Amino acid sequence: MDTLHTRRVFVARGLTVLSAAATMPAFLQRTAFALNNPADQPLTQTAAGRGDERVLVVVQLGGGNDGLSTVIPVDNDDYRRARPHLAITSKLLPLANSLALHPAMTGMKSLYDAGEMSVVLGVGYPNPNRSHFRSMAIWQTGAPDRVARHGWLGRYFDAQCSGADPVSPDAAVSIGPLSPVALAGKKFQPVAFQNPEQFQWLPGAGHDQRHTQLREAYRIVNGISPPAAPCPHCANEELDFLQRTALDAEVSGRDIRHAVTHARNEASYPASQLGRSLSQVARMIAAGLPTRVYYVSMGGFDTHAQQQKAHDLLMAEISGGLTAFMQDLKAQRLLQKTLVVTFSEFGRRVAENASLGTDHGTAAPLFVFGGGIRPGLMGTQPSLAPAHLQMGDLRFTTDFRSLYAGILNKWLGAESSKILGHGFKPLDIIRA
Amino acid sequence: MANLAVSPMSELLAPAWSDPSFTWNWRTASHLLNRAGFGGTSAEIDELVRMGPQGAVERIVRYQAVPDDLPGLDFGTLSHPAFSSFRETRRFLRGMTRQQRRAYFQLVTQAGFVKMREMRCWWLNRMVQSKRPLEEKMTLFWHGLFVSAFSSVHNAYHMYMQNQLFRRFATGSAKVLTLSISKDPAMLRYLNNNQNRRGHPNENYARELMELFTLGIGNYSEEDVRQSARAWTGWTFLGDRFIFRPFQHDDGQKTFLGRTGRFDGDDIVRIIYEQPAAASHLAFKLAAFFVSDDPPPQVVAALAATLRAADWKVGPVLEQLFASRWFYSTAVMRRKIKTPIELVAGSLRRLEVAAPDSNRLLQSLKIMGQELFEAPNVGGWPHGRAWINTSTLFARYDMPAQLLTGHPQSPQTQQRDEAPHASTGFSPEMHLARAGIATTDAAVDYFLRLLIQDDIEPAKRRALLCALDGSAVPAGKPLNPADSATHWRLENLVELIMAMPEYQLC
Repeated sequence: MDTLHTRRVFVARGLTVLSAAATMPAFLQRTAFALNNPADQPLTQTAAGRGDERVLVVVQLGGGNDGLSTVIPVDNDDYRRARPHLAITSKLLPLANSLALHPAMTGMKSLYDAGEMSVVLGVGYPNPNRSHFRSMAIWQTGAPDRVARHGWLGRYFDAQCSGADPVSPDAAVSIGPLSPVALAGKKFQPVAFQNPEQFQWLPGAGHDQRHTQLREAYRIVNGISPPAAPCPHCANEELDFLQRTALDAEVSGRDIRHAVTHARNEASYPASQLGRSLSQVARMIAAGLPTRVYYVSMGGFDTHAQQQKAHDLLMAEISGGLTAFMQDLKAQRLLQKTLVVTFSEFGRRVAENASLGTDHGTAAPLFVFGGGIRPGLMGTQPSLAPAHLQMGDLRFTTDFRSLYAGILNKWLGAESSKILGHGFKPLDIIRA
Repeated sequence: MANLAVSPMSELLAPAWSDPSFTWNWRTASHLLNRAGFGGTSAEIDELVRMGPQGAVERIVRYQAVPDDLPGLDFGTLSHPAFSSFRETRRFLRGMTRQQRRAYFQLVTQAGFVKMREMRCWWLNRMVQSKRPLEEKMTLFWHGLFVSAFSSVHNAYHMYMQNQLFRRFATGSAKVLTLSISKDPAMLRYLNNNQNRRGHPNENYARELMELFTLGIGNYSEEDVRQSARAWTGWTFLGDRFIFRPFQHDDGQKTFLGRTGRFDGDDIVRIIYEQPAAASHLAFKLAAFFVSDDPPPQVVAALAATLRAADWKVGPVLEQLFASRWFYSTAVMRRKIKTPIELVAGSLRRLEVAAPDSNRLLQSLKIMGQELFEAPNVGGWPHGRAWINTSTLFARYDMPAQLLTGHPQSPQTQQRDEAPHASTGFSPEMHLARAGIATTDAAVDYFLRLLIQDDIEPAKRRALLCALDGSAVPAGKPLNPADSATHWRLENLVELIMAMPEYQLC
């Protein structure tokens, strides 16, 4: 079927679908149109996705980052006593209040000095859980007391839509094979992909002509081209759901591949996994995708043994990746619309263990970046004095849900109490 | 088949064959195999059709009559003392320096990972090959209910022991299984009951046992958790065996779910199974797993009654389910999203391909969200639509190329080797020759019937035929085995059918 014919069929059919579109969500109409009719492409760009719409980038550090080797207490005897081998005492990059950045974080130090980064100290939650899985789920759902199926950002997207239609899936893009529970809502499902090249159907193919034919057949059997005709006798909600996902995948796959291959980076990124992910995110932001939340993750922080060398490299990777990302956004004038937040499921035990590493702990600092943030140190550094510890761990001073409330209220313009429940004072991270 | 929207309960669970409009045919027999097992080969489906519905359900559920000819997994070849007894491990470690011990543990850890990989392939292969498909399906059910994960258990042999326990109890008594799992080393470790001691209770097992495994939230109080945790103190393991440590056990009086006594674990299980919620909790789980994500309450109540009457044996409930009108209703058939395991094992089974010993396949299952022996949390795997997102959908759609050709096309190299295919052994020609099929349109219908067992939109069938014919107009040409293109075209056809939304359902 040639394109012209396809388009003609679709437009004829599409209008029928539109007129009887009781069940077809608006974003699907837009995407279906654009997919089959390139001239209609502007329709895929929702008004909300263009221009000044704010973007949130979440950077997940999996495994439990050692906060005390990231934001380091300077001249602190408790710290040195607890960490006879692992305490970092030289080449520190001073922040304020006797705290300093890890020596490898030179890039982030300059972001801090430029007022584009803030450090939130002692972030955690009551009755800390030291299981990776459980604590990660707690951070992602914002629900320490129960097993929740939906994430804090998923619930935000759920709350964004008034009618029966879910928010368009490409409102949130997760880079990685799994879609984190943080982005999963009751109605909302984000787009997830690992590698833009593999974000498409990859049949075992032979020569090109056959490939084209296969692709056309693929689009037809998935109801993408032309959209499936109403078929009352085969009405099947699960089938509709799958066809919608296939259509989402096809459309967002095309947009994302296009953005990643055509948009530019204006900074050079380190050749790390985080660097690659962030450079893709920068290109997607630059391409003006309608995405409001990007989610990237990096692992390797579970440093139970021989911590120092591994952790030094991790710090260099975080700092290098995020510094390049911020430079890139700045050069492309995207800094003002972007907020970046890092988190890890927990910090690590104050005292080092017998294997020159550290075990699972509790509260830790995290970083916030952006053009619109309130820079500097926020919150209070927890005391390291043995008498103040709780089973050898730091007591948190800022509940992570206050940070979420600050992001939801002040950055995403939502009502955080509806998403997180009451009682979390929004952290003042955004400059008014 | 009747529309069941307004049917009273008795009709939902009445035998399907009591309805004159019910027909037992390829479609309904495939449905039974899809849900009670991992799909069927065309020979298996034909055989069930010949047996009639009653005989087919009996054959599936009372599988003990069918010999199990598949081997277990051999741990003996792993010549590491960590996998034999605790005493030997201790003896082995005695006299070692700290460094030697560390090196040893690294070795053991590595060996465990290797063994787990082997075990995942082994179990997948059982799902594909077993002549007792329900046995494997129920083993998977219990594995998803009484969750333990290797990443917390750290002992491959204990995971294997637990898997065999589930297999032994596949259609047996849920109550006895609950008691056995409470003594299972992997479970004791996974939910930390090995750290549950008098005076220092660890409530993890006590809580999850009630919340997730047996009663469901709201059917017990926080106080019941605390009290029963005391009853579980001293239940731990040594080496590969359960042991009870009397001096770690809190022998005092407990009040649990309204009863008072010096309870231990046996009493807790007994009292739990006296609760009405225990029967409805399990009945719901079974109906959701095998039939429909959201089973009607009256069906759950009736199945719960069957469970109690059968002294907690699961077999009779399954027999009632698989025979029911509800099971074969239009609201149920082809309305369930396959789990990744059902998708992969079912594809291998239907296409008569052995499970390849392949890291890639295991990796792709992981990306689809279901890694065996590694449920995401104690709540088990998700169900229904939660399996599907844009990333997992492509993982599902790209899986067939791995299964059929051993290597999907990489985006960089648009060309597949025309060299001999990898060793997965899929032969579309074998299928077609056996069925006496000689034309492209009959080949399309054959694979649709084998893989989807349902009508599809004519436009979709036409597209498949165009792809096979290699032309813009569907022709229905004679298949030419001498043409080297025939083989890859047939492979592509099967890949396409498996990349249809219809194929994600069963």
